[in-house]
Amino acid sequence: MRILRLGLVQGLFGGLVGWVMGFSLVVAMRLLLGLPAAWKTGVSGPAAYEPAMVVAAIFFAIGFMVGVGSMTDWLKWAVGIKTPFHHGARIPGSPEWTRYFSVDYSHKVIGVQYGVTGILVLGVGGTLAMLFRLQLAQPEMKFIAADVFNTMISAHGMIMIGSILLGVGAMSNYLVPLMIGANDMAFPRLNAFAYWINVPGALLLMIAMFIGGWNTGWTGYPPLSAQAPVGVQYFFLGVFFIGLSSILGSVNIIVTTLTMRSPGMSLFRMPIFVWAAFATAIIQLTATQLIGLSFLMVLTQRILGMGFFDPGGVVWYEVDKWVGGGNPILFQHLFWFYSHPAVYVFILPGLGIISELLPVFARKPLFGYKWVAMSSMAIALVGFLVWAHHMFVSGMSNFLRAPFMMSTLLVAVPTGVKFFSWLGTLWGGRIEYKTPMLFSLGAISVFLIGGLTGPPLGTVTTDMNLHDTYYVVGHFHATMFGGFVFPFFAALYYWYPKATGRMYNEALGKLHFWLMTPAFWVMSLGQIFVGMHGMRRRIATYEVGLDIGTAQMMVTIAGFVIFLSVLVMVLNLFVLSWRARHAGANPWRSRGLEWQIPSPMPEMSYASLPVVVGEPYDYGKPGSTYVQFAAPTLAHAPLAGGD
Amino acid sequence: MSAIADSYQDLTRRNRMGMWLFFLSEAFLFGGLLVARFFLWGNTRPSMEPTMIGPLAVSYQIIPLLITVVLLLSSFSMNRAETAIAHDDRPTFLRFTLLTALLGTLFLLGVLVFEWGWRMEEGNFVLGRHISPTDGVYGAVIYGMTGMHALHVLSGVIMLLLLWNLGRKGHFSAREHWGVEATAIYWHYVDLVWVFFYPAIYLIGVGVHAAAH
Amino acid sequence: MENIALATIILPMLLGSMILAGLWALTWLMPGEPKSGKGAELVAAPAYGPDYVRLSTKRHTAYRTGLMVLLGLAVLTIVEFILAPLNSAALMFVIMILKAAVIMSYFMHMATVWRNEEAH
Ligand code: HEM
Ligand SMILES: [Cu+2]
Repeated sequence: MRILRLGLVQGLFGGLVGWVMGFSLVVAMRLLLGLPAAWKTGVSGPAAYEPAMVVAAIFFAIGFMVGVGSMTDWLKWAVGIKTPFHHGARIPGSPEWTRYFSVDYSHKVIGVQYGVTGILVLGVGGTLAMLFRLQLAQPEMKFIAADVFNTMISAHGMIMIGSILLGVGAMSNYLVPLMIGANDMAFPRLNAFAYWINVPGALLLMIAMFIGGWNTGWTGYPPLSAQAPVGVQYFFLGVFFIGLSSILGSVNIIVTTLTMRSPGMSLFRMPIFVWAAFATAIIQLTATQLIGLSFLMVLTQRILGMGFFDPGGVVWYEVDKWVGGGNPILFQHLFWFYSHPAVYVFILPGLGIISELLPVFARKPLFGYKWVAMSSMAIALVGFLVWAHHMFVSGMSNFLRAPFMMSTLLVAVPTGVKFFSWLGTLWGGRIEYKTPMLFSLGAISVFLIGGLTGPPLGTVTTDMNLHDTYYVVGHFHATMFGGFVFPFFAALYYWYPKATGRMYNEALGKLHFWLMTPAFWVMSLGQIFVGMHGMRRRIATYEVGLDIGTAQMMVTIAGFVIFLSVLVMVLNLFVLSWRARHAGANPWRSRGLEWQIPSPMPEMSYASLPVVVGEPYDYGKPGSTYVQFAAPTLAHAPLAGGD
Repeated sequence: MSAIADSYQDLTRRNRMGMWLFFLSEAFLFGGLLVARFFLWGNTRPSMEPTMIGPLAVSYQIIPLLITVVLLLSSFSMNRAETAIAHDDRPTFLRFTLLTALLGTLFLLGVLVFEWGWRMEEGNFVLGRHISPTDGVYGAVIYGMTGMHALHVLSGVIMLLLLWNLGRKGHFSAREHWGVEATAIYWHYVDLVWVFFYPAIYLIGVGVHAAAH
Repeated sequence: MENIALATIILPMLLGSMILAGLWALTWLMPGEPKSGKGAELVAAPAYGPDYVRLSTKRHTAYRTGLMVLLGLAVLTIVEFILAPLNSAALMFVIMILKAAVIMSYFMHMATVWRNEEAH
């Protein structure tokens, strides 16, 4: 059976074995200690076995990673077996498609794996949103019970963040090596590991909904999360593994960018997307640890009674000597120290895509290349200094408010640089309105809504009123769609011909755009509107008296239109264009390195060495060249790579 | 062709850079724990009155100091092992790698047995000789910090044993010993973390006594 | 009491030795390149080793440096311990950072990260 030899299947089997092992290990230890098997009395089901459930989830992830085969090479190295690096299918002779369901070291395969998983997870999160939007379409609807509703919005939030991180991983893993003229990432094995760890992570997030759910929202604040149903543990662990992927993936991106560029490609001749991916990786590398730590602390508070966030003190099985002293505000500081920079993880690659595409379709040089490159770095760095703007009403020290307000408003400067560069690039260009270009322009319009709603939130006085209303929801949906979803779709359409060699259906692409963009304007402006009229976040229903029923109905309808339009894209890219006409090597007449080689690309992208001799975005300048190819060299046998 | 067919130097250079980036990342994890300690304890720490260990009245301060010394010694022996293989001195390399693993294990025992103090009380399984994890923020932070560090020491000891096994079988040479270097800098990094954790937990701040319950 | 021994010592030991035994078994079970000989030759022999700069110092000199660093760190640790009752967090931090700098520059040879060792 070929199916049984797929890495994915073996991984799931390994995960199952691991889960059972972890669960029975804890129960066995308890029984050996003379304790009852169940941890908590008075409850039944998973909640009674919380520590066992937690250990089981960790073993699940380990079992999955071993089963899928992403640790095989490392285990061999540990005992002294060399594993020569080779491209192509793991099991010789198996067909090409199996590579996508097993561990594969080619960055192109891994990029596609990230992307497809991202779209699948996006579909799950979107479906959840459609369900609870139905409840919100009218006031006082109660067909979803309040606790289920809470689980759904919490799951929607974190699952969508997972899908964004997967999409970011897709773009940076697929594009960075291609754009810098490298044949793979610096650590291909680590790359595969970083992808696959997402799978148990995402699975845990989804399982969390079925073992009791959780009611904290995606932020998981204690003390609520310290008392929430046991699902919150799987939510913590799911995020933990997805975060591990971010960290390991970013090590790879940074090292690849720093050490593997083609000759002649100085830092300021890199494509602008590589700058964006680099800045993103710096954030992911460092900040991610803090969300992991904060979640781990709540996790241990729940099962080991370590009262980090418990002001009162828990009385456990022995009399406490030191009682209480915990502080929930600490959690918010740790959490937002990641989660604010994380919003730049979501948007920086997308903004990079916009800057990458505009010059191609306007046939003009990118306006202010160096400024745009530096603005990505500036956003990444200033992004570390603003986290407490999420805590203006949390009860943190008052004197922190003014500095965090000022640093928050400072972020507008580098963001503005990007906007002006886009305008300057478009100005006087001969614009071709192809689908990727339309999505880039749509992204700018949507991101503008998100950007303009930000400063009122960053200003303490106005935020006092807006905090925890639908205004915030409108704000961040606009930033995330403008900064990630629209550019991601633009990138999918733009690189589709490169990856598959086929041209997507332009008419359906335009249909997707014209359904999605106006619908999104309606949705986010509607959310902002109801927020300003008193609609609170994270409530299962609202009163008739708020008089926002019509707006809510429009938001729901717009949401469904967006969902539908994404289905059009899936149909277009994954079904209809499969047998479409050949696209040729460079349908967009791009100057980028990856467009100078055939599509679909060969296993070894650059058989002959690309040499960078000019500026990347000199579109329309006669006689300018970006890249030349050296005479083909002999194909080398790649060595056992370093991971 | 830069991307493939790279020399051992290229690979080592990348590996080294990757390793240091990983350290940078972990610095935020340990830094977060330090932030938690200062946020929650401020300028205090749990006091450690002398108690009886067997027939001896010892201040609990002595245990952290002793294990700190053990870890420092292990760092030295790790360095000696690495220097040895860089000069093709295999016997010294093997001896000191094993010694480092031994000292690491000693450190772990010091933390787990003497500092944490597993014991049984009235049929209940209890942690904590001078403080237990459920003792408010003091217990939580002490066990959080020492636990996270001990986890790293444990992984280091496993790496050292694997390294010793490989070295015994004739792997590594003066020219090519990235495996040794990686283990060594990882081990020193774990020591480096303890350089910050030890004073933060045991030396800084005014000792406070447990409230009568 | 026996149960404690079982749970905290024997179980982890069993688990640990199982893992080690498993790793060991992998050596035999897994196909792969021979441990020496052909597989090893695949790795291009460089003109200079990654650490040729350090190699250029004599072995006993290098050993002595390690010993001196150990002594320095030990002295700093003792100073730290003795001065702790002064209750000066700032002083503690100064000593910590000093120790960290010594470890990073001597034990972890941080400078090698930036050194470019292209041998060809
Ligand atoms: C012009 C720049 C921006 C400013 C000044 C700004 C400011 C703020 C402030 C002050 C809040 C807290 C509102 C509250 O809870 O009371 C907030 C929330 C949020 N922002 Fe932004 N923001 C900006 C851009 C972005 C971008 C680019 C993203 C990225 C995708 C983003 C994502 C979010 C998210 C997800 C939340 C909600 C967090 C939650 O669940 O509570 N923001 N923003
Ligand atoms: Cu923010």
